[in-house]
Amino acid sequence: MPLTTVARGRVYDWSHAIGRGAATGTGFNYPQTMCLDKNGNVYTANRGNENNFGMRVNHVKVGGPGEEELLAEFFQYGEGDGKSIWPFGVAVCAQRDRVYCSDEWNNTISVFDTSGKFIFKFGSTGSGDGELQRPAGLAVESNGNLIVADSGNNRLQVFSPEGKFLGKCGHAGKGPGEFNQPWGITVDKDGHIFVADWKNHRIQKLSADGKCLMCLGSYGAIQEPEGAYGVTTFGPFVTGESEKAGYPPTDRFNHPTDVAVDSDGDIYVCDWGNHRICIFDSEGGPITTLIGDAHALSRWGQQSVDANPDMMKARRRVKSLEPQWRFCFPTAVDFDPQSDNLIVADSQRNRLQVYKKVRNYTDFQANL
Amino acid sequence: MANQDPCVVVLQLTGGNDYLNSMIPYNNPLYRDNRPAVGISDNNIIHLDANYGIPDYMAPMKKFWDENKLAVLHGVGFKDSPRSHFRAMDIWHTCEPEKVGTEGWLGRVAREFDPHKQNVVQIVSMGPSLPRALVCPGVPVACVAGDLERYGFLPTVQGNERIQVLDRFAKMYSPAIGAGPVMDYLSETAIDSLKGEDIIKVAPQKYSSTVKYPSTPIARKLKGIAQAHIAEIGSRIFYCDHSTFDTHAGQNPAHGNLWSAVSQGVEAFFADLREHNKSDNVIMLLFSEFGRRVHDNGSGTDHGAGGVAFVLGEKVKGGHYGEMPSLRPEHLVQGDLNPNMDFRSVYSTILDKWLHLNPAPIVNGTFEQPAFLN
Amino acid sequence: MAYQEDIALMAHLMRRAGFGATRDELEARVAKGYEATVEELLHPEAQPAVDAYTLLRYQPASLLPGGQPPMGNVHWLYYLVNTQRPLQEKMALFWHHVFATGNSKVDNYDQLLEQIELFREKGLDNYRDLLLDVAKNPTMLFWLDNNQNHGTAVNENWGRELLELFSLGAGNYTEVDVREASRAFTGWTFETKIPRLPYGRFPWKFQYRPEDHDDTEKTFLGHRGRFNGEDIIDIIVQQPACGKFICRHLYNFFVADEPQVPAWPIEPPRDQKAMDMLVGAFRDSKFDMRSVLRVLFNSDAFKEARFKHVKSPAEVVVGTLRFVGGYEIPKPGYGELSMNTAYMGQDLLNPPSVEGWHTGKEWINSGSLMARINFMAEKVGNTSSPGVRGIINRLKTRGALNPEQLVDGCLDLLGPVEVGNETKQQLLSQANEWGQTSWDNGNAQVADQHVGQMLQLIVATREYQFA
Repeated sequence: MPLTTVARGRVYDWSHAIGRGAATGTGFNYPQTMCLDKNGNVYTANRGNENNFGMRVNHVKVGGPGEEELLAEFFQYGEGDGKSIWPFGVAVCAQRDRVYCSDEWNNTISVFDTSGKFIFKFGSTGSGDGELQRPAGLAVESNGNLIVADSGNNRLQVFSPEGKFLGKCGHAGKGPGEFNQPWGITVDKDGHIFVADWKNHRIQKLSADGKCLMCLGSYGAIQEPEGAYGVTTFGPFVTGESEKAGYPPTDRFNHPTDVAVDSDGDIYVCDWGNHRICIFDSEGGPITTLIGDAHALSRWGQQSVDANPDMMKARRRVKSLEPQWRFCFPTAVDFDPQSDNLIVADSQRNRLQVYKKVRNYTDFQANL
Repeated sequence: MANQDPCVVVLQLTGGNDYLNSMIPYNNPLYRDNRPAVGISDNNIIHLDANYGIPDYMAPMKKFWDENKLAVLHGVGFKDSPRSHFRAMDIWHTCEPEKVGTEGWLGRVAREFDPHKQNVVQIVSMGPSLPRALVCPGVPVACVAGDLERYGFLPTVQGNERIQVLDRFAKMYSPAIGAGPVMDYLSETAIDSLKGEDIIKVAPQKYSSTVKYPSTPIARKLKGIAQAHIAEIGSRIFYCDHSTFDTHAGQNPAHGNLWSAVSQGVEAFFADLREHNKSDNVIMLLFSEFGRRVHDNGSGTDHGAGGVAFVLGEKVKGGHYGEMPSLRPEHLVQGDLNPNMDFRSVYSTILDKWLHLNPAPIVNGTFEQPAFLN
Repeated sequence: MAYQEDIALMAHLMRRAGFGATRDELEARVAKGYEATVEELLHPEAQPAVDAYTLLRYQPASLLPGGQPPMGNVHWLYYLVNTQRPLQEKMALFWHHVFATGNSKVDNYDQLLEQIELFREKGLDNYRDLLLDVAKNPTMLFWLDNNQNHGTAVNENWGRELLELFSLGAGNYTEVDVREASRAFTGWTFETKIPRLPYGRFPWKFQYRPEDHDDTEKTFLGHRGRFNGEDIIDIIVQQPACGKFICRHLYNFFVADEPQVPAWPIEPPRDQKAMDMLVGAFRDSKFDMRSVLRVLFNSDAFKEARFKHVKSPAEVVVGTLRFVGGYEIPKPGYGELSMNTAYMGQDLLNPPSVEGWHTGKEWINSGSLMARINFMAEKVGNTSSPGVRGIINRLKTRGALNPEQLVDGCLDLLGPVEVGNETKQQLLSQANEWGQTSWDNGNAQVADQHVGQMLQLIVATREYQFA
């Protein structure tokens, strides 16, 4: 599988992986959403499991290969201030040096400083103005207001930095401006709001005041090619031949969970159920897809293998490590305009995969 | 019933307790080499002797050691350790390393003590599930999901109403002519359970103590066991567990929190028994399904093989039994300590010297007996 | 009361072919008809599948749960409680009983769930094809050591259980047959998989290794040839003993409790005539499970077997949760919930051994009886749950209820449940304590409580332990 993907004038170079499965400390535990801080590092909201393990938001340094580092973790499982039952969304407000985190069981938004110190929380259960039903993804507008994907109420709500209800848009449905359990949201540099309309299998681009400007994508699910190796019952499927066999066309989504927009206006859709990132130009024209290329282990991952000789032995006996390269239910995508890093939260693999959008790429001679 | 019948309390450290951080070979440079991330620093180690120390979070265990009432069983495990929680735990419970066993060793003990199951509270297990160690056809086990006070049928019905409702319940289960063998069996079982409930709920009513237990789940379970034991309801085998010792990540401080809870709970438990002059006929076994990987993974430790078990009690001869397996790389098996004491040896001593039963049919073989009991 | 009889019969069908049904569902099904309902149950593909993506959104750890409960149990419980294809899940449970494979050795719920998915997909189809798929199922191969069954060193574990527990039953083959069958399956194994550290689990894939297969001649059940595993299965399914064994399992699971499997060579079936009928259907349909079940559910033997079967813990837990409702979206605590079958003696995905669970009265001991009664009582005592609200709303429309009406109403709407005289007397005397139950004049809360407590007492009865 290529480490460099070239399509329609864009070049994406796989850079490195970050993390490993860990219920606490150096690793991830089913990240549901992710956001960048102003230094190009990320916060992820980890879902954990039913042993009440692994729930937390962690702050991790992205850097270059091998430079991953745990900067902070907070919002662990528990009742009370600064704790969570079901963490879901996370967003950074750069101006105020704050981190917003949603808990979709308690239906609250908790506010922390960037080191993870609890400041206050707001929100209550319900469907009225300012009330929440399973708040999912979060995004901060340039004016500092917080947008919440109020997934159970099938709408977006806007809150002031103090947690005061300011406005809402959308309701349940399939039409433009309507939602079915929205997941991740993002705001581009022009203030447009992009929503992963999860159960409608599409992305919606909204104006800052909530009008639908574009609907992108429709339903299409990954298929299992004959004789393929199913990494899970729901894919991805590895054939060992054509690496994109079974994946649907670029504009067909299966429960998309997140979206990012880069400095050129290109759009990245996290196509969760199809285990890939779908890339579009700013008009929604399909460019290409990325299906995961994690050839090299992350630093923390390498530590796990080094500490377990039997794991190393097994890895040497495996016919192909290709299934491990692939995304498996990626949940979140972010683009860092400073570093041109495209970062993907590869949820079922409890790691991040980092690509670089390469500019001024000169092609090599074909007849090498 | 004789009050001095020997009793066994098993405290299972579920998840794989890290041997090297529970019994630290602090003079061995290989310990430091292998534990760059999760090693216990020298000033946090309490020395037991010239070779071994315990982390400060296990401090209460030091008192038992000083009283010569703590036996440390080194290198406990079995050959070809599977490094799987469930398989390993099953092997400990059933004494069947080669195949999937169905009878538990303590279930067999109970059957030996009471073949006609006259005593429905012979085994008291603190927790909703039935550990396989206690399973044996026809052997009743009182599984106490919460506090002893709430043990019984229909715990949501309380107060004055409860007596009346349970009376109706008993009548509904009274043998009916011509109801058939399965209905009769149901009746018999329900009546047995009611009997057990009557016996068990007396214990907390009779109990009073100056000992304050910490507010941890394991301390709550140990308190329940103390109540049942002090009330002399005829229970001989008590089971409880604490979890999860599966410290793959963030071992510090996780391991410390786990052991603080366990060691403080154990301290309170024995203090309680001593206050009631009921500690002489009790020993406690603490074990885990396996030890952990020698080299840490940067944040925690992964599944290993050889581990450590502890037995403590008034009649226990304190000290080290066996030797810690070598940490030298050429002696490790897949990076793990190679067990050098079969776990069934530990059981055999308890069965033979404490419970006065023939160990062989219970543990499926004859094993050397470390002499931690007279 | 012909209609009442139709309801009772439909309730029986749904308890056995599924996990019970609310009164609304029973009425809709009675309107459709008994045979039509049987057909609908036999064709689960016509109903929507469980929304796995909703489970994954809320409980991502249930996809590749690894070796530790309860995430694996959460996964299956979610399917059991929310399926609109009840017979499909019931058959998965049936095959899990027969091809019992456990986490105690496999240490990997991912693989066990994959096996359940196989039962779900093929459980109503052809037994011969299913048996072949099971023989290639890596989880089974590992569970019964066939990955250690080599051309040069035979391991008989799979070969023996294939004959003893999965197809023919003891006494219908010789030790030589075990040996020869085992030889035929040499080389049936799985590929080395990527290990679980550092990024989580990957599944096994079946692999046939010709160089590890003993390709020489074998003699098996009177046949001679250079048999491979598939040939063995083809010979097995032609044996009369095979149909008898599988149909006795079906009878025990769906119709009425039989003695435990090890007693089958000695004790005759409870109903030889019914067995002959099932075995005939098995043979005539060339081992098509759907055909056998169609005969079974439409037979008088089935219809007359009401309350002749002690509910398994899975039936208790799933039936109760489906009845009270409110479990459509995963919520925290599902893990603890999913452990309840284990507390009652049926640790799903972790049977005590390859023999599976002992059924019938052996589900009951002092601990498990307490666990099941307390679980059911807690759930039906919650008068705000949708299912209990449904009962209350129906009772309300009947106006004020005297004690007898309250008892009869609750017994009816919870089943209908049939109880003996003594039980009825006790329920009545409890209701007599309360006098009239009425929702008028601000008494609604008290009336709700009466219903909740009456339901609690009913689920605690001996009679309610039967399905």
